[in-house]
Amino acid sequence: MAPANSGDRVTTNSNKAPPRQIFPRRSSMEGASESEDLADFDPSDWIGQGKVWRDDLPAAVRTACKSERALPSSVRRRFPMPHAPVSELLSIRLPPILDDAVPFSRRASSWFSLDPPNCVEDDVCSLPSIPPLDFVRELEASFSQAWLNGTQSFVDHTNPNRRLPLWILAYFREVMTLYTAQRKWVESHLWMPEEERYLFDNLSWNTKHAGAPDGQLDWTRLVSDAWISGGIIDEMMRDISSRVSDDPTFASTTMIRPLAFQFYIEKLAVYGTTSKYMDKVVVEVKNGKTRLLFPLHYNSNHWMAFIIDFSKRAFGFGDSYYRTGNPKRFIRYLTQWLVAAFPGIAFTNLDDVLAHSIQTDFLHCGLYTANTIEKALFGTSLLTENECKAARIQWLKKFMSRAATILSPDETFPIIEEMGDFGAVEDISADAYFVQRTSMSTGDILSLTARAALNDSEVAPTTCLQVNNESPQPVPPARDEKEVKKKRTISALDRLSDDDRENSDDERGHTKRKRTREAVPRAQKTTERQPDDFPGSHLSAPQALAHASHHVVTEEYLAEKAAEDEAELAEIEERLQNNPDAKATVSGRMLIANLLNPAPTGHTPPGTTPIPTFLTHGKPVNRSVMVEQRTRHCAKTRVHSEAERKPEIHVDYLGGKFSLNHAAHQLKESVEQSELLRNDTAFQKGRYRRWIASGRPLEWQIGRKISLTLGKTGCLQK
Amino acid sequence: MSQEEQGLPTQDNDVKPEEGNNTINIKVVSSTGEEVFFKIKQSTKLIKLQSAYASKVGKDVNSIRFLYDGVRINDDDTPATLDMEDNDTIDVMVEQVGGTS
Repeated sequence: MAPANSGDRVTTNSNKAPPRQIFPRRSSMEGASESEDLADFDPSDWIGQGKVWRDDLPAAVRTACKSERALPSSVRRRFPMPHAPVSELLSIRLPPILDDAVPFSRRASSWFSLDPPNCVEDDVCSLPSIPPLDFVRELEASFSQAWLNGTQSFVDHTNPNRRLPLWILAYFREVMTLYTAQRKWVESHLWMPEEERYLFDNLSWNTKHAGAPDGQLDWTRLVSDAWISGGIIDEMMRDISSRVSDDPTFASTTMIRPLAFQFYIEKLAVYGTTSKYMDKVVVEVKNGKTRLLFPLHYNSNHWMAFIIDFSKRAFGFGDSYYRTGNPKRFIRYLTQWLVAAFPGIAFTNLDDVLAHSIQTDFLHCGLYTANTIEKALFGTSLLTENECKAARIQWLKKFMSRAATILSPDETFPIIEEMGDFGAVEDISADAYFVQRTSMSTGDILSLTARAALNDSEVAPTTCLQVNNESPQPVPPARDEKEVKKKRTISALDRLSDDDRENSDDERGHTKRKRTREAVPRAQKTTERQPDDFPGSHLSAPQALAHASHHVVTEEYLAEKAAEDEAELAEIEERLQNNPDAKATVSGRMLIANLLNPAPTGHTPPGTTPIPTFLTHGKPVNRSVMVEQRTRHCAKTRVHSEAERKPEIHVDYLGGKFSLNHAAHQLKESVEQSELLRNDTAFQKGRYRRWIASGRPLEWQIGRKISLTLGKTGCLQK
Repeated sequence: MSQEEQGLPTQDNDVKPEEGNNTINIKVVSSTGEEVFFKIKQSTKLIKLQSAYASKVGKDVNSIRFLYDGVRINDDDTPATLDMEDNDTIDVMVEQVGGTS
């Protein structure tokens, strides 16, 4: 078979070298030919023939390899859609990610198997844990060659007899994507005042559209104390620009430009690249526009507002964190453009001329930038630090309002098209899949029990109800399945909803006690029914069996079960909160990190510090070693902070030089904080999960119901 | 050197495709001036080009932004919807964040 598309079709060129037009491979750009490629692929020519994987193998081979690891659409449908509400994303439960606390083979070759897969889709989707991202990347890197060698499946390290299908890698990736998204939205949820959290019911967690080209996940930066991103700044400018366009006073005189303006100014100055974009600005000025306002990104970490007044032949800026001569380099570039675009006109630098707030925090300069521009145009009052939170929420509402106009209900969401053959939106329940991990086996047991009992008695459950009540009673109405599943799902949100009240221990304790009080009586209410109340008291033994089994699957039982789950979890949480060590050292953020990303069996005996176990004795410890250790051993969310933990070692007060002592101190502190809570939560949660997954609660429930029914009918005595 | 390797249109590309499937050459220029050339159909979604570019330069596609004529390119855009012409340029901007200086 002749290699198709021989030779690279993509290449890079330096700016100075003449462009060389070599094009990307057909398969990377044109998916239409994939089915043809697959038809050309003969496994007997390639698989197990001692071939070595190379990137220039025929397209048919590459396509076949790619299709083997592609996630089936039936599995993809189990994940929440990008346009599902944030609240739905928060309600799902994800399998924990393994870390070094749990022994698993980090040798990629030990994961590949020549055996065919021997488990069904539900088994795969109910794995108790998944490997960490760095190891998944390692598996992905080794996969192509392993596939050529004849690999047909992956070894399940939680169950060595089980062989997982090849698409498990894509599954791991999807779960990790959800992990990241869920963590960010949980942060935002906790940040958001309670009275505004209703917004999350109508806000999709990652829809991409013109107002959020990076996806709405980027908006988590807005509804938290995170630094503002360029995408959000541009959206703010778009909003201000639309208000300017609507105002006849400004429409003919004022221009608002996004970050692209700075980009093209710098590109022109550094590379001499002209652009149509800048030409259009010049045309606008010649057509009568007198003012240009735009955001400026400075020093890779700061936003400020900039203005060019063409009528006054001057420019200046408004920097909330003002230091004299801040954007010197940009001003030099801007001056070069002004001189070239408006020859003969000298522009004056007015420096920090725009009225602006004084920034005392280290977070909100993006908000101050938009506020400075609004103040210059509309006379909006200057923002104070205390008002920043409200301002962020206000911006979110504006963004949502605009997104609603962009995405009409009939419009197809781009991301859905891209992702393939999803079913109808209403057919997909975000938490359906994750509930399956605990309820699929449950459902099987229930239906089997019910069927067995019904076969015995030949009495349908509906008949049982009629006999009992002496008048036809409807079968419990078709429940909103989603509602049931939501109840049953131990949601990330439920687990975390109280943690943002860390400043008020009393309030938190009260809430949890209240939840426990509410939950427990609901569970007890049915177990302590009086004989007269019991619906199956006049039934024969087979009927009673049928009735008991049927009752188990009804709404009431599910509600009971959900309440019990809630109570159990509340107890675990309360135990954690009452741990003085944890309270002394851990704030809500680490709690979140550990609840979202627990080490399932990583229990370290109390009083032992993990530090000595991972400092490599006898080997040189340098910066990269410490960074690696920090990445591996610390939770990703920093304690006492909103920000994600960066793996880099902080060197700022050491003159930029790596200090082993300092790095070790930092690492020790971070790991201790991580470990303390990780051990407390992971151990308890692991036990609880294993207990649920084993099906014992269900067995116990069914057995209790049956014996209760038989006991009330007197069958046992007979 | 083959015709294709020289960046010249191949025999396949010379065949007139159907209306609406015309291919055009697009230059993607990074913020440091490096250029990558693509040939795509007018109806191909530019998200594919973005992914191919990110893969080529070894970056996460979410860490870079693609601008055409100063406007951010959306996943759904195609050369046809943006009225792109042969040999047009797409600029690549690095994603920025800011909080203080």
